[in-house]
Amino acid sequence: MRGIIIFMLLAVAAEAFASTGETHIQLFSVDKSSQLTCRMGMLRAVPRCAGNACGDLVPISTRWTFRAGSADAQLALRPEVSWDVSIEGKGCWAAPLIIAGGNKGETRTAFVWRAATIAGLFTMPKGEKPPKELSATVEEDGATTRASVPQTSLDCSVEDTKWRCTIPAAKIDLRVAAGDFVPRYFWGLEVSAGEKKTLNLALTRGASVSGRVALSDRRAQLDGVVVELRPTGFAGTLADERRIDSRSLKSTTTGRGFFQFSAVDEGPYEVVAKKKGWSRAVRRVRVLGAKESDAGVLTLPPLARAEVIIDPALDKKGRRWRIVLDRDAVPLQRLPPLADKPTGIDGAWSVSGIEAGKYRLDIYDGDGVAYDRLTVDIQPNQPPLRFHMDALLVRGIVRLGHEPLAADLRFMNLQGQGDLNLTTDVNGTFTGTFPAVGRYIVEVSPMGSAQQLRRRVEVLPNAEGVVNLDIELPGGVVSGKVTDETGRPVAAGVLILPGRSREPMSTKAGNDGAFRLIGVEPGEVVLNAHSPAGESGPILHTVSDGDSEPVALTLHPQRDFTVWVASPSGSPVAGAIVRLSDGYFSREEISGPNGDVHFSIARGIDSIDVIIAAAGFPIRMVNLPISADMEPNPQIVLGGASASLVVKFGGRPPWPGLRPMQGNVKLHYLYELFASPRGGPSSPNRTTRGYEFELDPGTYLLCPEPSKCFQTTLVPGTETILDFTTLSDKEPKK
Amino acid sequence: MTIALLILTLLSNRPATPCPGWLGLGFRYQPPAHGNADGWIYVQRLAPAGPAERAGLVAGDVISAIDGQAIRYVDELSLLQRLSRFSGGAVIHLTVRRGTRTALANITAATASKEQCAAWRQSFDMARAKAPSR
Repeated sequence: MRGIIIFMLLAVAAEAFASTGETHIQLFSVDKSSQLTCRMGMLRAVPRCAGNACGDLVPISTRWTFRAGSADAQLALRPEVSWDVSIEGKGCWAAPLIIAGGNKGETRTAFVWRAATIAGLFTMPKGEKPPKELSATVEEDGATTRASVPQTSLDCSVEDTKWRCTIPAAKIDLRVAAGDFVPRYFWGLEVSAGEKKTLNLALTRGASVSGRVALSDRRAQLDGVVVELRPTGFAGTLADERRIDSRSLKSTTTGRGFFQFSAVDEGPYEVVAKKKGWSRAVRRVRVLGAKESDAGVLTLPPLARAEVIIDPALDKKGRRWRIVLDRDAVPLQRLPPLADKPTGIDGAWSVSGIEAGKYRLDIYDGDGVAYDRLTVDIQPNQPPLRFHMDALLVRGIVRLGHEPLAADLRFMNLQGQGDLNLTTDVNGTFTGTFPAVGRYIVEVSPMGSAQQLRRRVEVLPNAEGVVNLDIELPGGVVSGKVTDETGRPVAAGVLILPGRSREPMSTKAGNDGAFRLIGVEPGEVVLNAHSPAGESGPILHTVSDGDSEPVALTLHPQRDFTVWVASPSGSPVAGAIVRLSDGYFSREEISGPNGDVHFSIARGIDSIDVIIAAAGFPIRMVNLPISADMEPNPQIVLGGASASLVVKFGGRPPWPGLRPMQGNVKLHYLYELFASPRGGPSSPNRTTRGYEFELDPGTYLLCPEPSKCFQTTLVPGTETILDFTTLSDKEPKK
Repeated sequence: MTIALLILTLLSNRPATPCPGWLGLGFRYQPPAHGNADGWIYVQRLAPAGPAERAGLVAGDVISAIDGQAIRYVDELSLLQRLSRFSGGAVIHLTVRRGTRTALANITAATASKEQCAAWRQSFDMARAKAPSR
């Protein structure tokens, strides 16, 4: 009973205290010395409301005085609204407090530092006016262990080219931003109490990138971190890589992990944070003109350990497997693999101290035949990767139409290096032992023919563990004759497109103009003959099973054009890759020193698509109408703003395509947008994320396959990621 | 447009003689055509750490002049013959267009190794095979 009474008394007392609405503010002096300044001041509370919303609420203030390094003050703050409480005092600096609405007399503490001053002059680029405002943010430098200065905006004054801010007398990180100039950072700045430090601010135009690095283990020391800002894209060769290296900026972080790069050119970048003994962290940022880009927090994971267990532990001949672990990137130069060693007798294999991330893992048997080749994601503390290895007996037959075909076969393992060469007998049959199930490309070279036919096949065992692999090649034959407009036979190259989803085939017409191709899929095909004498233009033809009607291809004289490629300011753009397409066939040219590209097209073609990929500019896709009265030397001006498009897809047909909604541009496969010459180095647009492009902003029609399209709008300065790997009737995942 | 896909080395008119300086440059040559009095060279690839790369050239550059002279060779063979005059140690001044910008690059030709010399001869033979008979 007595306990209940005491509880009731306490409850009543608490109720009485809360009803007063008095907020108790405790202030502590960070400086324990016998200070002459910063001994007393005012607390000012201002309601966080405006106009009628404030009702009868007015600002409130009360005095405080330090006694033995601390001070207490009460503020009667009504709970209907939040309050901003500033802590003022001569020679003092303190971060303001925010008392949230609903407060019924809480106790808050705050630290008070003695104040210092930073001041100086602005120096601007020639012709620039000084900024009218200066915003500065202060935060405690991570190296100290005393009371921490919270992230706080400072009061600063600006008068013409002079500026001044009051800061806490502590070791601080300071960010100063004036107008649209590049923000400046001062890491670990320390000014003694009452002192004034002169900091002249050389203001520059341009963009900057800042951010913070953290370690996944917060107890570890955040020292020795190197941050690199690397331009992305166009790294198809070692030379490109070195160029990117030369354009990359490096920096170290402060004790708290902050970093900043200033005077950064516009464009997409990768921020790479590295520390010895830790995995790297990478973040992509897009830098826009005269803006600060925030890379956010890059958290470095610890190093990882790759562990593999293979079943059976030994190969068919009782020998150990060999595993090679390598970087998951197309190497620009030959580098030794990260690990290349045999498994243990128990089939176990491991390698420690590697960075977390994606790697290529190859498994070989004792004969060096690749049994598995895949991309693995190695992360800290993950379970071992397990693989089951088997060899497969494969038998099959090759037919051309309905007839068996005697041919040489070359099977190329798309997931490994287990290439096999086999030969069919007169009945078209073959047998062999394959290293692994999976997808292969088979190259069929018919006996007595120079033609090669390629097909993709899937090697899968039946219930008896045997693979029956019948390779059916189409029985269509295309033959015909190439002549000029007078009817004379012409030796010419002949291209055949057997439908949009199949690889083009080609042959040559002899001096008698005759040509013949076997293994063509029956159906609609497009043919084009070309020689220095002219071009036929695209000719549609229907192929039936077996021999079909001969095709007559007439070469027409061509008309010459010059297209001028220019920047938004009108300067010629040299070295741009310009692809011209009539919707079926395309060719490629490079713009010369004056931005000029010359090409010829057959008479009768009424328009041509032009795709321009130039370093530093978004890819431009336009349709150029061809008419008798057209401008013979049209200019194409590349865009200034760009939007990023990343498309993930399965890496095999159907190939995704796109076209801009504006204009009459036809649908083009994504690889037609590659910014590297055909036959040159592998494209930098093909990355581990998929196909990446910088495109003109606007609305595009994107088609994971020709019959499945949807619209998407690419907004300037943004990145759109589309996942075509999981096709459905709905739009792909963004 | 002719294509030189091999890492190109400099050459001489007489393949039996020692190789000239090595540039480490793979290119396509566009001879003067279409009313243009001048030709140009499209830099397709560079030998890693080779002289051209060390001089700052990058893939995609367009070379518009050599030693201040416009490039007016009728074909790739003629261009190679001109380049063959540079021996190891010679400095070649190139005018380079990169996008909208123009820059100068000074390449110091290196002494060709046995492999580079063989590659050059191969390029030279290919260019000679493609050139119209004179």
